[in-house]
Amino acid sequence: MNVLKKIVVDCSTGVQEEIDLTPDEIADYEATQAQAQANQLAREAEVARIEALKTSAKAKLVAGEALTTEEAALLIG
Amino acid sequence: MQLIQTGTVGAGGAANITFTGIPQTFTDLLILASCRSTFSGDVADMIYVNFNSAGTSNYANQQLANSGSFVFAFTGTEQVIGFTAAALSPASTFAVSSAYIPNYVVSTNKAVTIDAVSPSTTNSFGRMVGMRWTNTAAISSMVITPQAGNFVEFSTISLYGILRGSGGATVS
Repeated sequence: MNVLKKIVVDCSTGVQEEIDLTPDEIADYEATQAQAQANQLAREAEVARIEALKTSAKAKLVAGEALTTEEAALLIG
Repeated sequence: MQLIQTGTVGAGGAANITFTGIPQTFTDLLILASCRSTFSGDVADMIYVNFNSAGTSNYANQQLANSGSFVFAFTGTEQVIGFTAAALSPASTFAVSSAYIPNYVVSTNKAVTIDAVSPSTTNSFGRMVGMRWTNTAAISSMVITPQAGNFVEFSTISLYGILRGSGGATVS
């Protein structure tokens, strides 16, 4: 899509229009998406960290080794 | 329940779907979305709302999520309103979301309940979300945007109004 467009639905008239984003709207759109992607990357990293901790905790439990406090909390809350 | 309007994305795609002039005559709102985005980084993605073009602050959410057999929960400040399938999901597959907003014209902070699922060949993504907008204004418009990328053709978002009546009847 060469030009960013938005779909605007006027609920009072039922008219739907395809309108080009203004430069300000494009800037807001790009800033929001950049922040959102950073948030998602951080969330994915946290999920991966927790998965790694769970894997470690299970292995330690089976081997009879001591768990960290965080590992224990992940397993039993 | 009464359909207010439906926004449908055409062949060129769209950065967002905006509803303006939302009637203030109902009790609750229901948003039903069937969406797919161009985001190339995942099989699914969140979609966001900006009520009354009031900005993206004053939102909070609690999410219960699954990815395949992995279940997790987290909190955030994103203005989540639903879920979209993204470019890595099976072709021509759209995620479905429903978001219920009770008392949208009452002068209280707004609470939203959201259910969403995005099917995938290997892992389906599911979400249950509670979202709060700390603002007492009546909701008169909303801008709905994918977190990343753009909505593709055939994405639709329908806005319904619900008017409470005795015994569950619709009062006209």
